[in-house]
Amino acid sequence: MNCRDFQNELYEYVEGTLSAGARAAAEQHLTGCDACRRAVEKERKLTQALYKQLQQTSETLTVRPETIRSILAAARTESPTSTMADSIVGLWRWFRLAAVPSSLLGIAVLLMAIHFSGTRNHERISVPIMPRVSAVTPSANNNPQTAVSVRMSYRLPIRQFHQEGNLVVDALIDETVVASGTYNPGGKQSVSPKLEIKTPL
Amino acid sequence: MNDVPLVTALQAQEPGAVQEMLDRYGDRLLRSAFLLCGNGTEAQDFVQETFLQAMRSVHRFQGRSTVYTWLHAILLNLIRNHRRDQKRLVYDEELLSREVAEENPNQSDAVTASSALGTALQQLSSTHREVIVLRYYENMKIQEIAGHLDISGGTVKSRLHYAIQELQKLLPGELNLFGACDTEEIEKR
Repeated sequence: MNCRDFQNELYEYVEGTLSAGARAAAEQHLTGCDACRRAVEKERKLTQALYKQLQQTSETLTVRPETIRSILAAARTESPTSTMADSIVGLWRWFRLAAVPSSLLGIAVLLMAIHFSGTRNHERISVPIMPRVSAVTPSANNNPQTAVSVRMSYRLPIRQFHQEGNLVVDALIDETVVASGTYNPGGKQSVSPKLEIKTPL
Repeated sequence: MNDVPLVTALQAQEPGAVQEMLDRYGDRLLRSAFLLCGNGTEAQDFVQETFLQAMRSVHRFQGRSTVYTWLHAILLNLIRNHRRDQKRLVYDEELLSREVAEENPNQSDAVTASSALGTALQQLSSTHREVIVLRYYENMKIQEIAGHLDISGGTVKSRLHYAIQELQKLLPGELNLFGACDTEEIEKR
């Protein structure tokens, strides 16, 4: 141990909180170091002198009778407040503990709400992914370039219908979805380029 | 002195428990408050508020420290908050002048602050004053001070070192014990 090491542990040496090993090393250093011995002596005297002076500086002070009366009066009326304060603190602690799971639950509920509300919106304009086409009604002039009607028995979101059928929905009028494009369910029927699809929404 | 019966009595709101706490710790806490804030009237207010807060939160006291250390932590917090609030008002000259006018005529509690050390203590920064009071008046060990102030032991020692140097400058003839020749000698080696 050198002087700087000892200086770092001077307070602990004086107050007696060094470990046995550190204390032995410190004492070994002190046997050969006048400066550190003087530093120890000075810190001890300083501790005594400062305590004495600080005590003299403040020793005449006592708590005033009116301060004591105020505290005791408050003690008599404090109980309900303390119960309420305790409840608030307890509630706040519980809230802090529950905050993370509650937030996660809230986010999950929000995401589900968004998801299902979105699904409901899509349902409103959904058409079958693989519609069972029970009837294809050509337009009056039987021209494949004009609109036809298709009856379908179940529904899926319109975007999936687009993927399957390559159709673009133009409008939703009551229970009739008007779509345009090419639809080829299972390759058995091909209707192009414009469809008028009736679906049970 | 065993704190357990006192804490139990306080938690049970037994009559006389608060008076017992005041008798045991009131004056000691007041003197520490006075050394920390330098004003006897303020110290009385701080002590009153400390005991009020202690009564409100005694049911949460778990005995990890002594009752006095717990009370002192409340006190220190109050003084720090007050100091912070005062800094916010530092530009309100009217308020400051009123405070000075109020303090000057009421010197009964502050008479003891006229000692050279008391005056010098108030010229230290609050962080230096805190470690001096805790170390040399409250007789706390380095690790106790560190826990009390929520800082490292190294920071406590550093603050003590500079605080003593400051006191030495402020009180050159007061205590020759403040002479730092040994420390300087060690630092040179």
